[in-house]
Amino acid sequence: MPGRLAHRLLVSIFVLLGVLLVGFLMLQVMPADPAAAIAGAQGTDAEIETIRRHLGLDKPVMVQFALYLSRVVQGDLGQSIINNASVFTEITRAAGPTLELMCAAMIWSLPLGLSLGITAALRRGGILDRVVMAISVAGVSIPVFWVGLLLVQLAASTRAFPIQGRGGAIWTIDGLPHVILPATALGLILLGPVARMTRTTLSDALNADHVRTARAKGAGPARVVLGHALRTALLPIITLVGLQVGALMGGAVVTETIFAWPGVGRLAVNAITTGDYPMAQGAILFLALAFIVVNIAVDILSELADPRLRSRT
Amino acid sequence: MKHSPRETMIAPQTARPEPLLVVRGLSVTFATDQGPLKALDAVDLTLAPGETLAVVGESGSGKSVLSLALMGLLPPTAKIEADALTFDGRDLTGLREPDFRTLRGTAMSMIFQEPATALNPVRRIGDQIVEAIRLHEDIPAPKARARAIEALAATGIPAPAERAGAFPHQLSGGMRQRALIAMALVHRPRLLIADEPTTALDVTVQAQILDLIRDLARETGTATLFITHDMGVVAEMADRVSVFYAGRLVETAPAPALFSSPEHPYTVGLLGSMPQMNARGAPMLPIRGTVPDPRLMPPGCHFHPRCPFAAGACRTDRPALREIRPGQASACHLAPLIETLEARP
Repeated sequence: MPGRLAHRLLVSIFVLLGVLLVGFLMLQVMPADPAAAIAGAQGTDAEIETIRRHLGLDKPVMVQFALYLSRVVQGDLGQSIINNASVFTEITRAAGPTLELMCAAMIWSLPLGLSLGITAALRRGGILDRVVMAISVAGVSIPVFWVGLLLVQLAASTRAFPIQGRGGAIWTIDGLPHVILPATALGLILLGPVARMTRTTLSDALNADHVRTARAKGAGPARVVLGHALRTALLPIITLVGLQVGALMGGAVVTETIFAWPGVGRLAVNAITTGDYPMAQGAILFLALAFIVVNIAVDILSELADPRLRSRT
Repeated sequence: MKHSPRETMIAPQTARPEPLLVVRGLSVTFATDQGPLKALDAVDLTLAPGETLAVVGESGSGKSVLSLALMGLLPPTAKIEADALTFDGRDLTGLREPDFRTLRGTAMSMIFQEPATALNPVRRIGDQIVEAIRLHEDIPAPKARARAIEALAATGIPAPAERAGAFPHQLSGGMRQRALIAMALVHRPRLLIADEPTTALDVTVQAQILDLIRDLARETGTATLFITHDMGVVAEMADRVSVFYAGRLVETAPAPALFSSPEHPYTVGLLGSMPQMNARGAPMLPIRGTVPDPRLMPPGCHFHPRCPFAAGACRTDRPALREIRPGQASACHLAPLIETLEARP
């Protein structure tokens, strides 16, 4: 297992390098000229040229990337070219709300998705199964921004929940109402796939030989389903959740923008629209890093869930 | 086909007052998308305490369905009908699931064909046996663990305490089957159903496992219902044999009688298909054709399209199970075979 983990970390370094390169190149091909953005509408060509030289934008692309890389390695993500704020500080400030939002989304959608999947698997072919599958197909195919906008409209007309911003930490009385709508919209991304995957893998597991053995031992239905069938069905579900976290982060960008949630996603969107490329690169780097961390966690969880993986290296 | 197949009731060979298991007229029908599918058609079975009965038949003969029906493990799509189904004096037909559960693993238990998949892959061997113990007995975990290790030791597993901490994939096929046997016998059941327990194992391991099942069953006084398609295993294990074909019981006899004078052409075919049972130089007699599709069962005797002796009545009337000799009964219009065939022109 330590060998696997070391291997994982090594691979992650290359993934990060790739992310840095792609993030860097994407901003290279953006039509907006950061130097012109800083100089403003009244900036002369000479001023823009000075700013460009100052930012190092006049150097060859590969040199720019090498310089960028060496700064990142030293933990220096640069300053916003809009307001000169430290990118690192801004991102650490936004990371908390993003993590809050993602946790809030998962805390309801994971258990609900699992329960729906279990229900469907136990009532396969029945009406409940069809209802659950309809919900999950809807969850997969309805885009987050649409649900988000719908929720905003609904909340605006009923005034049931605040629709903009964050009211404080989400476990506080002020903070909780603010997170409900964005967490609802975001959690839908996870709900459908988790319900579907649970239904499929649990249906298979319920027909497995070892589940029949458990029943032959005299185990009751709850123990058979939760202790035996679901235990073995868990592995693909964990893998799926790991993959879906990527979608969740994409969804967070949209959700944060709709609900003015002060997270990394909104930071990234604002940075991109204003041409604040150091900030955008930093935000992308953070999201990639989060994805890598989640996947390492998934690896560890998978090995805990399935001892057969432990003996492989 | 709504006529009673029985003319004579077969008495168990050794007349004991209280048979452990009595099955009469057991039918199992599955509801499928293509309509009902009869997997078992009015079969009879008796099993005395401590006795070993081999149930023999090809795949699709209904023998595995029989074992699951006895354990109450058939899916809800299966409809079970029986004139009588009693186990240890209890009527199983009307038994509610929670009551049935208290029998499973204690009074009756089961071992399966594929030890590789019959154990939970993500839980340790010892924990699975401990679970089996504590499902039915309220004893503290350490005590149950000691019992589990004892049970593993009784199956001849070396270093049982270590093996108890292993996951199934870390053991060989033979070891896994031993662990399953240990788990099945941990409550000293009165009935052990063994569904082809050696089919998936290496030949060298098969004999060890058969010995183990026989020895442990004898030691615990457990009656064994041994499901197999292997006549060699039957010869090795069985006191009595019931032969199934296409969902019906076609012959039942004490093992020696079945081997020396089979009274159903299908049994004759099964024995003929077994190379070492032939006299030297005699050709092997495979049964021609294949088991019929359960939805397209032939009328009359299910075996008649494959039977070399089939005559008029075989194609129209279901043969009843008749006692031919004491303890031996055959569902064949032509039984006793020797006399009938010799009398033929």
